[in-house]
Amino acid sequence: MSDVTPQTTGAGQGDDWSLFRNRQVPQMVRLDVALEHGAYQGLKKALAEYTPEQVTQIVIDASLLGRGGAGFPAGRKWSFIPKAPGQKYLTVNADESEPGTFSNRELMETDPHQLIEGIALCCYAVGISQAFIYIRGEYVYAADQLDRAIAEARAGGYLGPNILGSDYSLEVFVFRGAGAYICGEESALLESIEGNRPMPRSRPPFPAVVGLYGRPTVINNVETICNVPRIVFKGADWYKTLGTPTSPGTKVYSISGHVRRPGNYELPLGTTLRELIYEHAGGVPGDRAVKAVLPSGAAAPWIPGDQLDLPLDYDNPKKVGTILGSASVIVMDETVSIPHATLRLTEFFRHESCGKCTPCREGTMWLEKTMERICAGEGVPGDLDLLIDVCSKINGRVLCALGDFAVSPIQSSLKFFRHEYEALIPGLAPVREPELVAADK
Amino acid sequence: MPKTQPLITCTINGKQYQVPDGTLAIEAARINGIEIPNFCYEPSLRPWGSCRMCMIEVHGRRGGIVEGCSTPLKEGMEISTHSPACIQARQDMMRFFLIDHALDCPVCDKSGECKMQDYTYEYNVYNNPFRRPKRAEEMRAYSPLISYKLDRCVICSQCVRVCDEIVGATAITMAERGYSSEVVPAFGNSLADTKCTHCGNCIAVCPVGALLDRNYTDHEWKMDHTVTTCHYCAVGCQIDARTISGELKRMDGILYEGVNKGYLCVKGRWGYDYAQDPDRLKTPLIRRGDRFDPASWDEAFGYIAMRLRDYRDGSFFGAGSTKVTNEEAYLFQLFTRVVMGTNNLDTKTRYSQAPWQRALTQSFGLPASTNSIDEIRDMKCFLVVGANMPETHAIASYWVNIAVRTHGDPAGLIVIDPHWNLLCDVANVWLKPKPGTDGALLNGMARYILDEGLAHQSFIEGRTEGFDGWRASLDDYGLERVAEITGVPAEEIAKAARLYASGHNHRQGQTEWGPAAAFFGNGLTQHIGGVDNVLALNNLALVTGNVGREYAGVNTYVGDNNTQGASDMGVMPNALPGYAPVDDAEARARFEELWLSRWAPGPRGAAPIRPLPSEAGYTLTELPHAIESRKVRALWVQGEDLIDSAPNQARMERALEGVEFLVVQDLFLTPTAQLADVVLPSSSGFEKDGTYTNLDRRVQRVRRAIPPIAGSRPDWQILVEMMRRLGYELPFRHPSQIMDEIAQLVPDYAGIGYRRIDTNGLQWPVPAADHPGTPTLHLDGFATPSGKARFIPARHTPAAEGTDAEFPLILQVMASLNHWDTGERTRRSTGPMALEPEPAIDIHPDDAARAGVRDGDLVEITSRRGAVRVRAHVAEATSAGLIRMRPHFPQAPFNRLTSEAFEPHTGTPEFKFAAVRVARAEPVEIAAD
Repeated sequence: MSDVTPQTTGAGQGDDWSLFRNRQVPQMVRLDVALEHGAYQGLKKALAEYTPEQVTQIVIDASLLGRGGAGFPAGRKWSFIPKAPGQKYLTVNADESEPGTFSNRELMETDPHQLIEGIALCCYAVGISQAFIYIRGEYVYAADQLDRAIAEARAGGYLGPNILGSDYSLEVFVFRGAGAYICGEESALLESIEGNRPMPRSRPPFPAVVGLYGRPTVINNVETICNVPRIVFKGADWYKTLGTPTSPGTKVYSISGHVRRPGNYELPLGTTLRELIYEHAGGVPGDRAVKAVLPSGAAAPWIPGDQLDLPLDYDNPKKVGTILGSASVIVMDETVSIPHATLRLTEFFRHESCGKCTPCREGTMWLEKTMERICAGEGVPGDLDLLIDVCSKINGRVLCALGDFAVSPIQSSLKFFRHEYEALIPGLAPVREPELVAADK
Repeated sequence: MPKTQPLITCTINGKQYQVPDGTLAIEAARINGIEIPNFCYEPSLRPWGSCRMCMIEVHGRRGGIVEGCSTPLKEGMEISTHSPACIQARQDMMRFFLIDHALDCPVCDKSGECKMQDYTYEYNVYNNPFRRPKRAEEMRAYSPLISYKLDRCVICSQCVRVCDEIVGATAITMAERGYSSEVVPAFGNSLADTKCTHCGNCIAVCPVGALLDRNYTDHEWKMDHTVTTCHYCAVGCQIDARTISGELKRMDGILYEGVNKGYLCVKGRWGYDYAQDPDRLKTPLIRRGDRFDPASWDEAFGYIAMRLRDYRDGSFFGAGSTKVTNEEAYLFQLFTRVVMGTNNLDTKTRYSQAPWQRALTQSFGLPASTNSIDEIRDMKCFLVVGANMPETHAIASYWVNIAVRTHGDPAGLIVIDPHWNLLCDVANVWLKPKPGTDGALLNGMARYILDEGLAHQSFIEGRTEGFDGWRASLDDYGLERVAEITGVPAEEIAKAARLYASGHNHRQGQTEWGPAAAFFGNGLTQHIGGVDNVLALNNLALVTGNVGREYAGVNTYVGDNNTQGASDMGVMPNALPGYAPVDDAEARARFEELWLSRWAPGPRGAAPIRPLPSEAGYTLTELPHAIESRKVRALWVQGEDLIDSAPNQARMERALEGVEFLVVQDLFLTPTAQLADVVLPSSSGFEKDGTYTNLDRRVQRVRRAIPPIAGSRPDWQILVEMMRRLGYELPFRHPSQIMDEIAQLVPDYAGIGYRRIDTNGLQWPVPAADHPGTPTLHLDGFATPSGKARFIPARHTPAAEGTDAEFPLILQVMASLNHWDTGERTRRSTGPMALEPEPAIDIHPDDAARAGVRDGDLVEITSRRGAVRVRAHVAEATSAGLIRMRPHFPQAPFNRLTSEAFEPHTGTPEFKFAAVRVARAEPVEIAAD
């Protein structure tokens, strides 16, 4: 873990620079209130002092990693956009559909102008005149807040033609999704905006070259964009004092499941799981032991309960075979039946598989059927090998990450909790591994 | 515009190949003869990559198993397409596919040409670990022609993508998701509720037997294949006529081949069974009083020869056909000119094409479309005026649709048409002028372009003449006045003009003016101002520098399979083959030298060896008058039904009754044939060899797929024998010999021979045997004497009649999607009749409400000339004030209603404007004519 002492707790204290600093301020959607609380300072500074290239450079220097899950450096992503003139787009991914993920929602609901300012800065840096916020349809309140904030920002000259008297113009549109997990996948999201059935595109070409309506497109997560104003205003060096050297900044951790105080916690990257669960989220109800943690909603491989000292940044989870992802931590305590929990996740992915790629379409169905059979006590001895075999045929053989996500609960639960499956399959003797018995206390 | 990529060298399966940089691995393999298995790859569509069958192995540092359909090849790349890892990956996929695939091959039409079947065998997938009972889904009927069986579907989406990206109909879609995905009609249970055009391309691209042709049941291995050219419109699609034991079973496109690249329309795919209809004439018929007696061919030839000897004094008229082959058209004019000694020779081109032929010749020097169908996909702006392309020349509209919807770089589209068609849905601008005001609209656009400084000055100065005179003629066509004449808002006209002039140059910073192509159809020509309308369009193209240039031009989307060819062959009253004027003695001499040498010596050769007639003959429009005034006493009609297509049905009928001797060559006993003295049963296009010339001047092969239906003969054989009986001996034993003679006499066809066009057609001019053909005309200079294009002032002429309180609506005659011409063929074809079994008019809901007409009512349409009863279809596809009528059914003859006004120079009737009223009729049965 980094030695930088965390300054931001997400409590909205005074003049701190956390993303959630204005979380408790009422009426932040109003432009006057937002301006009182420091909105658009970054944009004013950028328009007055920086060229677009300089803004991109600041974001590159700050090593802002994409907060959507993949952790790709945002500034580098921007720099891939061809410099040639012509229509380009920014699409903000606010289709927050990962189970257990709710950080974007709060960011948009409590401080919409922070997102809009970030959009304006990104578009200024890349030379974009039209931006879309693709928001999941269920986020009615957040979408309404954004609509209102955009209207006020436009009336106040922070959006629209000739922003703040400069020759830079930008229009921002809120696009409401109609409800599919796959729309959070960036290329399916583009298809959805275009009015097509949301299915991932084959790549290459990547969206930076052929994106929305076939034009170069930047796609960033809400939280990534929300980080931009403070980076531009306070500078890359300041930003790097937060978090770890390779994962600078703060991250909003959404924690849920078996914890006393579930919610969004903005903490420096590199905070350990133990600290997150026990210091911030209040520990596990009934002081039961943690059996396993899902670090990124349903999507990422699990972390077993004996590895709670893992720092949650973009590098360390890779060492134990998982990823930080969207940092939506779901905690499962010792009362959870692992196969049943896995079945629930498998059902989710089977239901959300768009059906485009053969392995994901057919494989998730077969995984679900097999898991159902096991959980109903009707499994046969070969079933576990079959699960592993099907997983290996989906993993890496599909257009988007959904297929890879779909197999991770099965692969990691089989890795750490195989005995629980075996206990459910008639004919397989239950085997208990001593160290896990110890951890169960 | 397409860029040519530099070539790179890559290694496929250990062998080196040169391909353009960035070619996808699957495509590079395909063009080099290596098939990478796939279900979802189709090069005309946007990349998809769903089936995961095309896994290839990339060797080297960043190698691994990747999809061949989304892997661009780079210099030095090394790939394997069938390595053990690839095969393993494909086997894995096949096991997934085979979980629920029905494997009901013995009862599946696709068996024998099914990719699933092939790959299951090729990859030896028999021990599937994923095993469960089959789903056994019911066959679902989506329309009278198309059915779907879910348990065979591989969810490759090719059908949905073709319907959307190519056809533009968006009639089918994928419903549900994931494992529950299925292909369904959009928004409903039946394709009738959608914009489906029943092109059947969804069936054609289906790699398995999920989407099926309901009219067809048989297996691939029983079929013979004949590659030929479609017999309907002028696009000239290449089709594979599939036959079993001499019976036509199915029509298919040939993937990647021809102007259609494998795609067809409803007529091409399902409009073939007329050829084997029981109504086909099987023996010559000779009139005896009120009835026909069957006769032998010998008898019929003898009788005709005897009668025709009396009409070699210029009183003969030959009504040729735009549907027969070039060779037959050539023989027909030879017969009329040399044997019958007259230039009284015309085709139905008179009723629609003549104005544009005249206008294009005047402006650019040649009566032909300037650009190629192959260029459409790379065009950057379209002006489609008065051309209902998606219905009449559907394949060309597919390419327009692709260009307009190109991802990231869409072409612009301006549609000028008062009626809706599929292209209107993707148009940037859709102008709906009042009928008969297109000329004014185009003049107004030209004037606006000049006023705004958008004209292409260097082109005007360097490549045109007559600019100043023309410019002065536009004084009357200010935007406001044109808006008033046409009923189109001034700002819309300006928008369209700007788009056309700039070539939809949407890329900022790009200074070169974009190419813009104009496509027109009968909507422009079938008016009394038809010639001027086309001239106005030509001028618009000239002022923006859009002729004599690739991806631009003025292009006609009118006509039959061989409209261009029939004209090229000189089946017209004033020109010999190759448009040599009949009054040009030098030109005549060239033809006389060969033609007149053939009169047979001996007893039958009593015919005089006389020079070719030098005076232009009567046109088809003048025919009724010529018969009435006894200038024409004998008539030979080749494969056309004049009664159901002439502008004034009653007058044509009286004329045909009044003619002394009438011979009709046709497939069926048409209303015209019923009046004949002798009817000769000719063979359909499926039963003979030959060539057609399509609308982009492409001479393509027609091949015999089935033997002539018993008793019928190909037209060329009929004509050769007829001429022999009259003493004129021709040496032709096969149509290829006729083409050799054409090549000898027509300079633009000089390099054409059957060997050269065996696989691909050639676009004339082909002046020499080693000339590659000319896809784009006028690139180096126009075909005018000065080499420059001419600006010719085009006047706006209002329609001959107007609407009033008694006749408040305007009737426009427009071909339907499902039928063709007088309907003789499509009405005898199961597909088209299943979709459109009876005549109907389209009327706008407002007009229908005013007239008290509901959808499906029988109505009476009355014009100043007559009345017709027909069913009404209330639809918003038609503008208020207009009625759209289809000319394909003899029980609802449009030509009892249409105006007798003609374009003064060409005699083309004003089919696009007749004042009518509509009233509900008593629900009585329509008696067949």
